[in-house]
Amino acid sequence: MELTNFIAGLINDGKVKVVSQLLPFEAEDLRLSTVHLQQYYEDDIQEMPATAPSFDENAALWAARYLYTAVQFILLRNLDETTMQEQLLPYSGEQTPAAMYSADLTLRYLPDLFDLAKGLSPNDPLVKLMKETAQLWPFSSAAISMSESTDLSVIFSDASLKQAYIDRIITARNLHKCQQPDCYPLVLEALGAYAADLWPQFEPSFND
Amino acid sequence: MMEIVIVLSSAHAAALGSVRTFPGLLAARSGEEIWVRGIPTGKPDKKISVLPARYTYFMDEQERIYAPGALTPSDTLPALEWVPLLSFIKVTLPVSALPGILEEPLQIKLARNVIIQESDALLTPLETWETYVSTAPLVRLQHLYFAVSENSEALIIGTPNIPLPGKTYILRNNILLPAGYDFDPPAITSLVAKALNPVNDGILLFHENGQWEKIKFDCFVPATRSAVRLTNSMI
Repeated sequence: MELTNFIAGLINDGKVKVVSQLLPFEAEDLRLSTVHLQQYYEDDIQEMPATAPSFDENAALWAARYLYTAVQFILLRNLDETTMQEQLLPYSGEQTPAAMYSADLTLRYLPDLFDLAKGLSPNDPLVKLMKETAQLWPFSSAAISMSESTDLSVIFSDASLKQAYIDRIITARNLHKCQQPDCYPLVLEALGAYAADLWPQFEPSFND
Repeated sequence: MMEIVIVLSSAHAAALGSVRTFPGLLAARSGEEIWVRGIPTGKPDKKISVLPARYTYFMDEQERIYAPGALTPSDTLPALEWVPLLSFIKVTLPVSALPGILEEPLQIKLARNVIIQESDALLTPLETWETYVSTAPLVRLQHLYFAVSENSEALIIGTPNIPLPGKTYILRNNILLPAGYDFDPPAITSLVAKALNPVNDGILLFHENGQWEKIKFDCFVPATRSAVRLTNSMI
């Protein structure tokens, strides 16, 4: 029940354990993990704006496995790049709002994973892979500073994801992302007439 | 060596209280007059200058007294029982004033107020609040707390408050007054807070007609989407 315990630890107290070997997950483990993720989804949508996207089991499970394996690669430095690319496979399904939000149930810990990997070289293949993943899942990487522009079309196609994404970049005080042409008017709208009170640093950065 | 002697009416004896601690002053009573001696010449202290003296004399060492500017004495100092001024003017403790008794308790009233202030709280139907929270930016909710009454009204407190229909309130001394109103007189705000909320464990919500209700602090919860939705589902 490695993955199930991993998800439970992540959700309940933010502490996780991984095994020191790359072993396939048992079918029962995957089934129970899905139950946990579904339950977490039901709780989490209470905090989502408007009506949250539906639950995408495949995306949720892929993200949980990805995160688990990424933690293993951060800790097990003897594993080579080829193994890494074989194990940390990108999501093969369609990127829909449901997939974006369901994957986010665990991928939202991606910024913490970057913290965990900060001791690694920026050119480390694992760091590169994680950056690629962050780029592909912008909803989960709102707090990560990235120089490349990100495709937000999936997020902006859903009212709930769009508002939640704006909430996240404001909460992260991510000026770079708030300045993106797609986001700027929405950030301004969110702050309303109280930008100076709610985020005093926001407006001056545009007057520079 | 010359000194100054002044003569006051007995009726002005209390005026000497302001100089009773001055060193070297002696006083004596003579009929309806009080004589004071020992005032140095030159420029006397201002408190001595303003004494309501009936006569002022200069006196030499032989106790001959001279009118101001006169070269010859007009008299000699009368033989009186001179005592230090400190003893002449006795200090008495003031009588304690008992507090007045109000026959009727003061009715707390609200009156119209013309001062325009930004509101600190809003009373609105829970449905309206939930609809707003559902799509509102998180940054607008993070400073707010709310409590809900049994009749499904939500009281939202915090600044900047939110632009929703409902009654707005101004917060002062943990008292919420309807916007546009103040106590009559306004100075009683702190007294009302002390009288009605002595342990300061809640907020007093006043209505325009002067009626009020107390909402304890632990009834308020942070304005999160889940808190509002779950509250609405339970009522």
